[in-house]
Amino acid sequence: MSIKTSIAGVIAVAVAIVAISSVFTVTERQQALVVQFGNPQKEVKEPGLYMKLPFVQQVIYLDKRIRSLDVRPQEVLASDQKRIVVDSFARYKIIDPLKTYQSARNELGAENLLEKIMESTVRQVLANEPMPAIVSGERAELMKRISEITNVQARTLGIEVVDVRLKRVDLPAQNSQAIYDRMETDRKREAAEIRAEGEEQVIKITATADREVATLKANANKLAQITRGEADAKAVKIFADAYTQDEDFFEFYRTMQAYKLALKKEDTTLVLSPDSEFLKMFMTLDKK
Amino acid sequence: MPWNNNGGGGDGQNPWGSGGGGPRGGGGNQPNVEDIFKKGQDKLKDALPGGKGMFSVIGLVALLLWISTGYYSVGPNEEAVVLRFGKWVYSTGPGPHLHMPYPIETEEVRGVTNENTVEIGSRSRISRQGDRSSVQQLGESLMLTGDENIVDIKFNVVWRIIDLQAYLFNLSDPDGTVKAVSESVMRELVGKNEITPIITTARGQLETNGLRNIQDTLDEYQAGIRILRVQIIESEAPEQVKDSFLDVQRAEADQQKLINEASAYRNKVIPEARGAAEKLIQEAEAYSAITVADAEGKAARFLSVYNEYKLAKDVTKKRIYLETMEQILAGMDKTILDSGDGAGVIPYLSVDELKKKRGAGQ
Repeated sequence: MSIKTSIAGVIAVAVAIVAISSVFTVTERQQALVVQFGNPQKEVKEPGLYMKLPFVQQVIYLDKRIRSLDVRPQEVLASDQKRIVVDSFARYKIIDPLKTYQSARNELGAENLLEKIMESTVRQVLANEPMPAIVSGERAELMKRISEITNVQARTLGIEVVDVRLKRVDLPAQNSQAIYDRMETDRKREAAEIRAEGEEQVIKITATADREVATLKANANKLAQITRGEADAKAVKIFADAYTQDEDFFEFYRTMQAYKLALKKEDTTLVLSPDSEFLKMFMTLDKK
Repeated sequence: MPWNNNGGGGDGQNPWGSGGGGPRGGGGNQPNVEDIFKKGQDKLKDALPGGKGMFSVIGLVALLLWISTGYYSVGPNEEAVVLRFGKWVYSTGPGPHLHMPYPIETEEVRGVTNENTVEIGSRSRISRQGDRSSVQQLGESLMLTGDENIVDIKFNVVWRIIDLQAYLFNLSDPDGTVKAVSESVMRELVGKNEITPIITTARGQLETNGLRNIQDTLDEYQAGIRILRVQIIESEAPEQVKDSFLDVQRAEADQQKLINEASAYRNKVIPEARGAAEKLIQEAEAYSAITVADAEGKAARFLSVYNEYKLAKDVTKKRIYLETMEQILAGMDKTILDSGDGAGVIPYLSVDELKKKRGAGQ
């Protein structure tokens, strides 16, 4: 009983080990290569449970997802001889695990190779563009070109580059101070300009206001003079109409009025001759 | 022989074979477990009486432990995917669930309603006292603008998972991808704009365009991520040149102040002048009215007198003359000097004395 049981147990364990080593799983994130003594036997791209020969075959797993490769920042010479620092990254996926395995063994090896390809492609593409086009131009176009060229070489690694993006495009650190200096002088100029424009506005506004004031006053004065003149003319006409009826009487009447107003007892001393018209009856009753 | 005893599985009745309709969700698996439990118990009773009871109890416990590896619970904000031998079979929502035990099925649970925030340009730190502070990341926040200026932009990107399967299986580093794409998109947008709008009016536009471009790129990757918001926290001139930018703002304020003062001056003097002008005109009108009325009055008075005078010319004339003289001479200083009879006497009249007299008389 006990010997039999032991033997059965050993056999069962052996069977279990064989069974375990003859199946393998591939997850949604993975793709796999079955390798027999270093020779690739088959490629598995769909997830699930698979069979293999126990012990002689091994499974190499590679990532099936889109992976990211952050290329280290590199200094690039643009076509206008300006130095810029470019930080780029690529999204790629392994589409031919066999090629990737043969050329790079694993993802890390593939990434190292891809990074070198990327670096040279970025350098090559950007060298044909002037700096403003790289900084503010159609980056999408540049990125597309970089990813196309990279893709051609990446295919030999079994890799498809989904896209390449330029992350940072900057001037080298030693140029920053020059930019800051320029920004500062630019702003100073702008501030001075704004202030001067303010002064200009002030002068414009006050001068216009002063002119309006002068014009208003002059026009009013003109109108006033015209009005006064018309009134004077009217008065002249009214007087003339009245007085021409009898000029002699007017003279007499007006003279009398003038005497009344002009000769006041406060400031007038009269030296009269008894012969005067008023006193003619003073000395004699009838001189005439 | 623990291997054969194990839950009666040795007789070829796979415990998961009967529950093969698995992809219908966790709840469906519950009755199967009880079946298995009962069946196993019955078989154990039949096959293993007496001393072998110990084995059966151990086997039963082991079986239950194994089944329990299929238990998982999904929180109210979460979603789970169940993988059979690594292959996706179904997704489940919140609640407790049971899937086939390890290593046949495994689950992955993620919060799908959670909002995740990626900070670019700064990192929030929460100190032990609970104070929030942020640490600048100048390498990320300093960006080159289209007019070759440098601007300091800090922004957040808020996102959540909308397709868990895509999120888990399409990208090797979805969180890092959101950040890298956001940075790239924002830098591209900043590179296309000039510094002044970026730090003043174009923030909103930058946010909306940024959100759209980031989303488009992530959709290309089929990342299973929805960008909810792009928030620009700070967008200003770098520290080194902040002062001169502030001075531009001050200059603008100065300009506005000067213009306002000038406008105030204008608004004061013009109405005043209008008033003065109106005054001149009104004075002229008044003069006109007075002059004409005066003339008319005087003329009318003359005419009235004249009309009477016409009726008795001599008498009237004399009367007027005498009345006038009477009025004038009454009370006035008068000296009557006879020119004829006073011969030999040279009349002397001191004008000074006359004036003095008059002064005293007053």
